[in-house]
Amino acid sequence: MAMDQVATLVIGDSPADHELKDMIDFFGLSDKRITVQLKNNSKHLKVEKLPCLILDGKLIYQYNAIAKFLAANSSSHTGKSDIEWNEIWQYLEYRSADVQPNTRDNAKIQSVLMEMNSILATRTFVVGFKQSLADIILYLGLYPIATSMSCESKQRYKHFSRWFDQNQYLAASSFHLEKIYFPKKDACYYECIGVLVLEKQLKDLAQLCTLRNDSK
Amino acid sequence: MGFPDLKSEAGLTSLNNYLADRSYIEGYVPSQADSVVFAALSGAPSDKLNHALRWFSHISSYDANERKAFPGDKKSLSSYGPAGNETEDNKDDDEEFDLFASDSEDEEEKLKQQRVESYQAKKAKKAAVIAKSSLLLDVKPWDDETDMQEMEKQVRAIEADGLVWGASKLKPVGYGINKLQIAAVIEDDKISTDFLEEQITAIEDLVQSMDIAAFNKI
Repeated sequence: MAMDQVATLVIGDSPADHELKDMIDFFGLSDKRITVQLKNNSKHLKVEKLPCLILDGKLIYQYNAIAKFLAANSSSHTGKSDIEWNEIWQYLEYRSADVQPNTRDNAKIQSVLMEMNSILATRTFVVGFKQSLADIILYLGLYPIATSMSCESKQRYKHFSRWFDQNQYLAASSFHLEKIYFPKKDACYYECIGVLVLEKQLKDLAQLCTLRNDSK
Repeated sequence: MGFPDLKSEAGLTSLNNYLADRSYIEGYVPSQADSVVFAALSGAPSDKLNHALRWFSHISSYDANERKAFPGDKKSLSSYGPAGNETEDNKDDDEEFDLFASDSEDEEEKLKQQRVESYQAKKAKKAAVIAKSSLLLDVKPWDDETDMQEMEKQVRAIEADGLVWGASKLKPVGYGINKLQIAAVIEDDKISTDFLEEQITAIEDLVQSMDIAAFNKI
């Protein structure tokens, strides 16, 4: 998918818009004539909603469609065949439908983690043998979930942890995200011990306080 | 310490545990570590060693030329893999994460042993002190028109294991002639003054002779 014309990505303030802007840098496309414009500065008054990609006079909306376009021009993150490219698409939908809306629902979070964990048991990357758009999309979509994972749950979903750690090494700086710490299995043992000891101490302390209060 | 024999069951099990939380043998990209370990296996690990199998399939997706071109230095097989007593840590992998189980005592024993071993290793290392000496060499040119910068450059270009060049200066000896005084630190076992003399006087165009102005043991 060669690009003869200059393409313009018009973005607003939302995090999703910024993800697309960072994707341009991550895929190494900033010198390939894709420019980024903030909506306020945009001369293109026809743009009705954001994000929007203006390509050859045509307007393309929707995060997933734009992400696919950017990846397609990267020549590195599209999988190595049409079949893999289509496999990648399913993860874009998976993020939009199952991951993103449910980052507050604990039961749904657990089921997403379980599903990801079992997919990743036999795979280094979700599609094929190289990092692809699917890994990036899932990394971005699962980031909020991963930040709130406990040490015990990182240990439980160890395939997920390995995959997430692998991808954040490659992508975290481009997307301006903090790296999340995934302890190696032996370290986790001691970390968890520490947390539990602290919790027990706090519980004992709380009990002591209630006793004191009662005896007043 | 590395993996046990990777063609044996124990070796593959050790590899499997090592790869439970790693995508690659070292770091986050395929490297020579992966090529070396991959070559040491006699075939795909069995299905029950699922981490090793995942890694094996991944590395197999590269062809032989790509594997040769992985970044990093190729080191011996024994330098990759778990250090210390990790190889015995097989049991917790897929079991319930029971924090206060009785095997915490075993863990303590292992940890103690590991620490004792590393202390002894450190002691052994300390005993090997390398004998060094500090030299000051006088290198004399043919005449006052000899290019002293070039001479210094060529002297510094003499490289050898155990030889480190230090500061230098030009000292006048009269009639406009300068001699190059240059310091060097050498390891006694590896470099001899004869060797240095040979190397320096070999720069015949510029060097008339060389003397050792000072020789101190460090």
